[in-house]
Amino acid sequence: MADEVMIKNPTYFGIVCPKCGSDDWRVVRTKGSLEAAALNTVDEYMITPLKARCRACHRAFKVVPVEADESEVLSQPATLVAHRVSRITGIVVPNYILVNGVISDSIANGEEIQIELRTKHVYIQMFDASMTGSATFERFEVQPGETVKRDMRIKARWRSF
Amino acid sequence: MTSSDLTQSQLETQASILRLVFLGVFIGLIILQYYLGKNGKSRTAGLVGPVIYGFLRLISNVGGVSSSATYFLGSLFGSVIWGGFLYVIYNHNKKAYDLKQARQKIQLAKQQESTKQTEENK
Repeated sequence: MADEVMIKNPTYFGIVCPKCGSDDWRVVRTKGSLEAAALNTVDEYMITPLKARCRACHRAFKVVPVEADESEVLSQPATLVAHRVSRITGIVVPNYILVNGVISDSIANGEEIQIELRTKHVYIQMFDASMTGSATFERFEVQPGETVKRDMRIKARWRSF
Repeated sequence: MTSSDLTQSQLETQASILRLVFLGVFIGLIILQYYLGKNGKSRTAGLVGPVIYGFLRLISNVGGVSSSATYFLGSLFGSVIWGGFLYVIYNHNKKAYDLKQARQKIQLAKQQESTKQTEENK
């Protein structure tokens, strides 16, 4: 991986579509991010460029998380409680949670995991085991020390476009 | 009623019903496989399998002639499909397990660091 960079507080906040300038885009392919996730250290995350697609103009582009500035970093880390809704669909395969462009953890069917959030604006997305088919995706804002709970579910379609 | 009492047409009807039942079970298993691992590669494995099987049945049943080769190939591909499916599932779970291990190591290191800092502060 030639483009690999280690950063402390990755964020997608402020990244817009290069064609129309919209911030309503989503990651559609996470090739290489699982290998990168295994190289994370205590403080730093290994980031990789991921393929994203604008939901307004449908333009595909590469997106790389950037280091969050001081106003964006939380004084006290928040917690995300991610719960994968138990379903027969995909029951035997694990899914992965992408938080701010970094694969945080794997999540089994019906499992609940806790993820530390360091930035104010959060981008979360659940991916399937092959890292191409995407499921739940959401952007939200958190306050320092807040605990946010989200139910993640797998979609029965390849892509939501 | 024993099999010797059955007429030729009754035997043929019984055989065709059995064939339909087996085909139904096979298709049911494929649908189950498709839903159990309904993501990416495992989904492809669940879809490509029946297409190959259907094609083989089609080419080996031309003119209504069914040979033992059909059943041999059918069972062979059935095993390959299920073997491939199980392999993909194993691979996915292994990757997830490795990631969990790496994450646990990081969390342990964080805990040790915070404990060390607390002791130093004291």
